[in-house]
Amino acid sequence: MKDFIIKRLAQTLLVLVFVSMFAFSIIYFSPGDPLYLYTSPAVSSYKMTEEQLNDMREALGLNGNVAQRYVNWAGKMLKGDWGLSISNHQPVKTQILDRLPNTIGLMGAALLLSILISIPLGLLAGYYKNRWIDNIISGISYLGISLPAFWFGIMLIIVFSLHLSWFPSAGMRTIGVNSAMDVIRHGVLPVIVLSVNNTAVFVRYIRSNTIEQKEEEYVMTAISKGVPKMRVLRGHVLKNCLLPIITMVGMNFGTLITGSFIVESVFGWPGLGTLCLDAINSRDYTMIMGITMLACMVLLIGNFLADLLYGFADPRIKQGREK
Amino acid sequence: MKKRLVSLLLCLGMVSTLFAGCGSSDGEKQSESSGSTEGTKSGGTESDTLIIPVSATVTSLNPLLESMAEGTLQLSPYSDELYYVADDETRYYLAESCEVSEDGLTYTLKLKDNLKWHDGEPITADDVIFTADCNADTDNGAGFTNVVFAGEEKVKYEKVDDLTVNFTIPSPSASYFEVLGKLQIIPAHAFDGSTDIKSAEANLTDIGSGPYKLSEFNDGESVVFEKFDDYYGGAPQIEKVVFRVISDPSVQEVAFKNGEINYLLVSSDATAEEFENVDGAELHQLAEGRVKYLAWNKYCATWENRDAVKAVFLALNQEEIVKGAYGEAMGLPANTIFSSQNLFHDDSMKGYEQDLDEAKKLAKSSGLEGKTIKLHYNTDRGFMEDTALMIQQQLKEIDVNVELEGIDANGFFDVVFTDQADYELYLNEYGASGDPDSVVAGMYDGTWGINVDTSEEILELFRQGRATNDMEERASIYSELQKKAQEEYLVYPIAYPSYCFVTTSNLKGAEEYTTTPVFEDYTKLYFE
Repeated sequence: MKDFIIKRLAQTLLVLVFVSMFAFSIIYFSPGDPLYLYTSPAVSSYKMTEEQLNDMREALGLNGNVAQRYVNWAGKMLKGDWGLSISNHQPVKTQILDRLPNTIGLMGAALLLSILISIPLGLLAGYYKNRWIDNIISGISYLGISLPAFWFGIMLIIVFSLHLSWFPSAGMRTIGVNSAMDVIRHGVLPVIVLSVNNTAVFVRYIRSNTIEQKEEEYVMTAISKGVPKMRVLRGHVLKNCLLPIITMVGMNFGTLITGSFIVESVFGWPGLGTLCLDAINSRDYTMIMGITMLACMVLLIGNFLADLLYGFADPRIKQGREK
Repeated sequence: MKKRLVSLLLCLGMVSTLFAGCGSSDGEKQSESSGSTEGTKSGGTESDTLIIPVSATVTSLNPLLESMAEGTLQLSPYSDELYYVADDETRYYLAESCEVSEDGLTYTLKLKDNLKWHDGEPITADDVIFTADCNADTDNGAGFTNVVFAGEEKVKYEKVDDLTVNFTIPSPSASYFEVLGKLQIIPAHAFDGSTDIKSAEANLTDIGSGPYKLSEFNDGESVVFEKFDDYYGGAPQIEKVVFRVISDPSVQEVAFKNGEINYLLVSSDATAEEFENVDGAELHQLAEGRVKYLAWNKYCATWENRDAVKAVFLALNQEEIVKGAYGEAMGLPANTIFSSQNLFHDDSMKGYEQDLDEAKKLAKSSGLEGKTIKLHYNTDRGFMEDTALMIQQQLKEIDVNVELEGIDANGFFDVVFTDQADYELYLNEYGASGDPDSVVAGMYDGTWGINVDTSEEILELFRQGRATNDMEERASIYSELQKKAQEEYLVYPIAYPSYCFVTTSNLKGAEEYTTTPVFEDYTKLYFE
């Protein structure tokens, strides 16, 4: 087990380094200049001289080739210095940490809701394969997979905000109000949009796994012994369906950070998604890199935890590793 | 059963906890006026709060660092300019007066007496000097650098007394009066006199001078301003002004219809039409003071024969393009390189007229016929893509195939404001309000649009227009310049876009001034 953890940690670090190099290069080679923010005629009719621009590049760490700039950035990151945002000169780490709870709250709630809904639906659809209940659940899940988030979000806003006035159309708080209930009210619609797609995907996975498990001899034995169907599903099939659920949740850990870009934008939710989109538009490489690395780390940690949890969910895997 | 119920309750609790983590822990109302802050159903009932949607909150409350359109919009109620030069008058805000010396070199700026910053400290000449110093430190990338630099030469400025500052420019510049008036100042005491303002903490504190002071700054959510009772122009009539983040234009529309906001920027003809006759909503149309144009790249070999340029200009049907891409509400056909909001705009001139037969002949004789040419456009600017598509269609008439390539704003200027030769045409726009000797001149004199083939004769006219303060003489110079630009096929001015917005009908005073972005003077606004 110890060797396994060390091996996985080493892999994780290697992946982090490769992702950072890849992401940095993409930003470096993409067209556009971060100094556009300061040199556009829309900002001032004064055009800076080459000398003034060079001084500014130097001050912002924008001079040098891609390798020099990457080494410079990575060196600072290793010391815990995420740098200053190019667009507003405020520390990147502080800005990310300020917005992080908003995104994790939204995505975490959506992920949790997806798991809660998809497990019973997936089990039912799988257990009653090709029956009316399976057809309905499968039909809805196909619809859920196909719905574009921005369209679905706007539809929900039109119905529940404009026509029924049940929920506010956008934002995270009513101005002047600072209560948890108010945040929950604002979060209902974006969470529904975010969880629909996840739920649909999870249901498909669990359904196919349930169908597989249902054919297993231990399930047949239990049914033939007269164990109630629900108890078979809950006590036997569900336990054996846990593996793919753990994989999916592990894979979806990264989306805690990056999964809500479009939905945050539609609902005006002040999370990392809107922060990152603004950073991309202004070529704010320190901010883009900060968010990318955070998302990457969370994804890797999620996968790592999923690997560890496998052992607990299925002792055969644990034994295999130890051998 | 009991176990299951407990599990369910625990799960619901977890979902709620995740959300609760997003909010504050104190769970108390910060304001008593929350009921009215969410606005009213399309202007139905009275309100004490004006709510304006924005795509993002400003990243700083320092007007020197937020001079792009959305920054200007959000800081407008909070920070005043010195004065505003309109067509027929100069409206003074923080400044009492600004006198120009006979030689046109020295501008004596006098502040009003008893002005106060939002923290109660007096606004003095020292603040003007400090603001000028901050702009002179070019590492700040401040938006009013043109106040302290004339080309590469520095403007001299000195304090005369507590309320007076002299600005001395190196050579006469007729537009400097307007440039100086737009300056927004910041308090020296808030920055401890340090001109390195980029990452100063003071940028997120209340450093304003306008009719509204900061109440709440919720990054990414909203900026809330409340009225400043000690404002020199008298306290404004509306209690609060809120800029609330709703980035999606469709959601903004829903929020407006839902009565959650009082203002909606209209971005399409269909939306303008929809709101034109809606009860509880009032549509406002202003000329935005911009010129949208098609330019040809002088570095590209395709245009070595100038007849090829003529062929393109004569092949285009401007009326059809404006009608198709902009619609009736969102733009008007442009007739010169100056906008209708520029001083000295010649409204007697006619724009380019389509002449397909002549265009075909010229295309053939110049070798343009049968060629494929590349057109770049800015994907972040409204109506550009539709305009590009219509140009593509119209140039097919003279057997010219146009390849379209959209680039976002940030990358766009890296391509079109350079000497790259691998594309023929581009669509762009520039701000063109007030004195033309500012951004308009910069677009043609090599400052910005370096690939525009401006003749020495036109450059000389720009220089002459800058060098004199005699308005009649300037009118004559700029009239000649606009005609010359058209004769030389400098660029193809396509449209003057409209700044179109809807307000709830209970909001009055919005039509008081026609400057953009709105609103020049928030004290004029009130709810009926």
